[in-house]
Amino acid sequence: MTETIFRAEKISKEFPGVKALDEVSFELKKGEVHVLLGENGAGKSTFIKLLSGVFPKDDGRFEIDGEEVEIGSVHQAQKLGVTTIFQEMNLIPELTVAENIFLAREPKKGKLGIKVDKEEIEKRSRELLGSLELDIPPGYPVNELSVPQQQLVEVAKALSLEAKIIIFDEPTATLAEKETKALFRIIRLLKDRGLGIIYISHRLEEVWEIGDRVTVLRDGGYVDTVAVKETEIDELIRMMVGRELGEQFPRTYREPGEVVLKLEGIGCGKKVRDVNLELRAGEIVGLAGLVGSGRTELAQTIFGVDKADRGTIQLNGEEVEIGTTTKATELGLAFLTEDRKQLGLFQILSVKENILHAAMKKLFPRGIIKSDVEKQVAGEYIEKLKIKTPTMKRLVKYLSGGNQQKVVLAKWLATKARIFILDEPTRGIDVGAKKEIHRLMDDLVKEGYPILMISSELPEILGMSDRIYVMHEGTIQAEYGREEATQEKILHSAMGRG
Amino acid sequence: MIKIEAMKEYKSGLYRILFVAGVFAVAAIFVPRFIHPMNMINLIRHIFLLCLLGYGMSLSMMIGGLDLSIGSVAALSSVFAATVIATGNVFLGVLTGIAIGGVLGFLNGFMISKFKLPDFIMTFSMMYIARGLALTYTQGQAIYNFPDSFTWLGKGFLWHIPVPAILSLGVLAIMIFLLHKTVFGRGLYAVGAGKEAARYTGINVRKKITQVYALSGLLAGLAGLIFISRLNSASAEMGENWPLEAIAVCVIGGVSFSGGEGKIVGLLLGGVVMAVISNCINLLGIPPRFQDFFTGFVIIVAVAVDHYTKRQEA
Amino acid sequence: MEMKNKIKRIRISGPFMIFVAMVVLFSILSRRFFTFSNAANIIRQASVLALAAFGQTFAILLAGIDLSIGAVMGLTSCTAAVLMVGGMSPMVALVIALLVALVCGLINGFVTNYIGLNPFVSTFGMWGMALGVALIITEERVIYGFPDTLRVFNDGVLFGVIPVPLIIVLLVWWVLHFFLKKTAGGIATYAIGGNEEAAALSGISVKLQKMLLYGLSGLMAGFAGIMFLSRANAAQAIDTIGYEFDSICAVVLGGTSLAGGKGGVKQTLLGVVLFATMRNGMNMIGINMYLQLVFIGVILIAAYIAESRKKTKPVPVETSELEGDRKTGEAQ
Repeated sequence: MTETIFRAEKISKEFPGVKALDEVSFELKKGEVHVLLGENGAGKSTFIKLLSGVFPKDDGRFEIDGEEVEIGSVHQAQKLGVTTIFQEMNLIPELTVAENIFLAREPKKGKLGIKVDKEEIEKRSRELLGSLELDIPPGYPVNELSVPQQQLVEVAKALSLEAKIIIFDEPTATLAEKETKALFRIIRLLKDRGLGIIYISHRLEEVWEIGDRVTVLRDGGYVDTVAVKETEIDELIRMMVGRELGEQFPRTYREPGEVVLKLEGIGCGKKVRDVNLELRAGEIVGLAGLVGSGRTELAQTIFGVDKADRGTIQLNGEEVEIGTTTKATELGLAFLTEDRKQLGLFQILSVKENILHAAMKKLFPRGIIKSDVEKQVAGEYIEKLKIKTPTMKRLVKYLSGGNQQKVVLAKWLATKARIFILDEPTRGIDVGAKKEIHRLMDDLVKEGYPILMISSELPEILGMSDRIYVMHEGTIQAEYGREEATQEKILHSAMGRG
Repeated sequence: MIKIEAMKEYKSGLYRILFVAGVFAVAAIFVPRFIHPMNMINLIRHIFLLCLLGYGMSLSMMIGGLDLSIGSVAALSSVFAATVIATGNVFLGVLTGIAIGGVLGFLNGFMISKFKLPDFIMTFSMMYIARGLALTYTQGQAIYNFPDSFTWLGKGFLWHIPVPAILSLGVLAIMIFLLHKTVFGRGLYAVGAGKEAARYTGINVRKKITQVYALSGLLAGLAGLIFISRLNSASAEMGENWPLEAIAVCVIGGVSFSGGEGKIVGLLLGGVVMAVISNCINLLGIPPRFQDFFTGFVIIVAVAVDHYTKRQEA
Repeated sequence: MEMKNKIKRIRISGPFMIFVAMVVLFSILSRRFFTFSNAANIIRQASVLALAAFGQTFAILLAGIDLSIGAVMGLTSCTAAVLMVGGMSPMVALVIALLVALVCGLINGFVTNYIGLNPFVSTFGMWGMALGVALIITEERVIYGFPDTLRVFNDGVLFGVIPVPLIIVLLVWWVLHFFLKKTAGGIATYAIGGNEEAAALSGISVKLQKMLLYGLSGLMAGFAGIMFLSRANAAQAIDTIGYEFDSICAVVLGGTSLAGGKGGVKQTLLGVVLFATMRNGMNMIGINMYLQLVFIGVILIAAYIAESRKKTKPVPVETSELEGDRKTGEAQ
């Protein structure tokens, strides 16, 4: 049981502008559940994608069962015995459980050998599911199963592929307690069979419920590996977070003004449950929380992408209903989305068009465009934000991440918005551009505008915010002032621990 | 570096112009009586009539959709307009034709944006419905005898240029203005370039979609009027080939199915290519049946080339 | 344990209910409707559409579309006619014509999947080309005067009662249904339509499969063309134009989803029956043939809306797993 089944040595991976993994090492034993821990952006997801074959590594080596391997594709990974259960479903909804498990590998029968042996598939699926002590009827179409059940079908499929290593990427994010217990039972069964399990989760309690060892990553680098029995929560959090706060953030703090935006009891569907918060003029309020805590959904509710079904929103003291994005922009709101490429920009349009199109109605109230005005305004913002582009006619898709983000910011500045919601404003942007965007944010609040900043980077939250709200499962778990906030406190709250 | 973007646009525009010039040159050399003034007049008329079909279709394509109902909508609006015109009331008749087209188009847009029907299904059904209503109304009979003031639209000349060409040119100018010089036009391109992104910028996507299809219907109505004036009779069977011809004109002209792209001026290219091919086929004595083959082939080639050049850029 | 899980999965097929309603309605409104000879009539009329619609079903299952069906039908019938008039034996002419149809379909598949064009564009282009070639080889004339051998496909009657077209359609239907539901290729078809990425990840060669299925669609158009020829006993290039739209109508009416991955030839057969019955019934009760078009359009919209409303989340199957883990005795 102490045999090593998988080893990763000095794995590195870089994306344009950001080093996602820096010489990370990892070791997995047979029959162990090895938890991979780290903040958002620490590199966990990149690491398992490399292992799953989603994209290739830049440097380092992988070893399975002592032999070095190259993992060039998902298919290859599967052949090597590595299967990953991702959060996005990898099943065919209209096909049955059995058909999904044996997809492209169906046993045949009949004289001509073309007829799929349905009984055999169902029998084997039943056995497979039975060996996991699962009660799922193999003849049911997958889309009639609940999400946790679908997840378990994927596990069964992995077994049928004779997986030696199964990776679970945040499997319990959408599960309730009962379902989580069911999943853990399965995982223990897999352990007993000698499989190696890599398990990623944000729920720290789970480390002790299911894990044998835990490895912590931070900022793309390897921190440490400890046995679960020999560690406790505070130590883990310290490992996840412990960095020198040497970064200087360009902020000048001053007394905030009146309350501009006030949310009371806001709820929207299941993701946003009961949110109370305030935003005052001239301040940056940071919104921290783990992935899935509902921050983006909250922003979407404020901005009218989804309509709030309970609670009230007050703008400058007056109650308003923001049911559409059109209304939101009319009221002076701006929303810089997390997904920059698809939602924040029109990739096939030019820099000029991207900067201006949100402000069109305000610039040209009569509806007729004057191209010299266009050029002038666009030029102003390109200069003010120092957007690097050879010409304003360049298609936005050719710009670097940092410059693209500046275009998005310019877009909203051009609308003369008065309240800014920024969702992960510096994600995937190089250090230089990051600083520039932070400076721009500071300039904005200097002029008296409020910013609600959603960020998963704790240093950024701590360095840029006047106040910090921490969200957890749809509500505000805690509020911290600038002086009292620390990374540990924020992470604690983000994990629901007060 | 600054030159590169401008160069690219210039280049693709240049290629298109060269292509057209080339087509004309080849035709002039190899096809007898191509340059003949009579032929040129016919050719010009045909080019602009084709463009007329393309305008509305390009609008719906640019927003990422498709309007298959244009022929049927034109038929329905035309037969009603014709009835009014035949009584002598030309102005009212023209108004009727355009208005009915607009209403039907509005219905398309409304159903698509409100019920989230795929553009294809809605306009496809409208195609059946409008055609059926038109045929029911006329019971297969044609309506004729229009006053001269009306037939002038289709058959007349203004400064030696066929009136349909002038009208089409007029519509072209308006469309260019609308698309490139108004806030409405920018919003259209935005929705075509990214429906969700447009929504996140505060654009009322549903309204835009409804407006675009209403416009498409209006233009179909207008095209219908010009056609019946030219033929001096209105039949409910007109325009059966229109959607496909219009798609051809748009596609050759560089309007993309995925939306957000395409300059209206490109439609001229589409019209020219289609009209010249058909014209040459006639003049060379090649039976017109070869035309469909060529159209189909040219479309595939045009789109494939466009697709290929886009992939190269990526 | 399994017994507890036999929850009744009542599957009320919308189109079937509509069919029953229609039959009842038309029977009440017209005495001539509910007769044997009328049924035979409907079957004969529907047989051509059925074959065309089967082909369309495959394209749609893959989340694509085939706009060339009408033109390929015409090309097939014209090819066969021209060859026969030229002296070739009917059977050989038939085979050659069907091969032509198959090639058209494969070209569609190739252009769509390997060159990467939108199926709208590629099949529309094929429409033009097929129509063009058909017009060329027939010199835009009507071709007739060939041996009667092929007429049996339409006029023939087996055991004195069953129309041959019915047998052909059912035979073809059976083969296609078998393919879709019982072979690995069929499962792969649904997989590609349902979640193309997952299908590719599982090792299915998506591009090749899609191309071959477009080829199949072309072949079906070929069958439909031959059936049409046997009915009309003459061939003209433009006669079959319009079948592409009718076939799409039939497929959507039957309930196959335009998004792909859901439906099948069983549904399409029902859709065809619905469509043909609707046409026939409307004729019987004297609805203006033009007005019928309006009805078709309205029903299509209604059918689509009804079908898309059905996409409410299905009730998840209960399994004891989630009721609590009694086996390991964990506390709930």
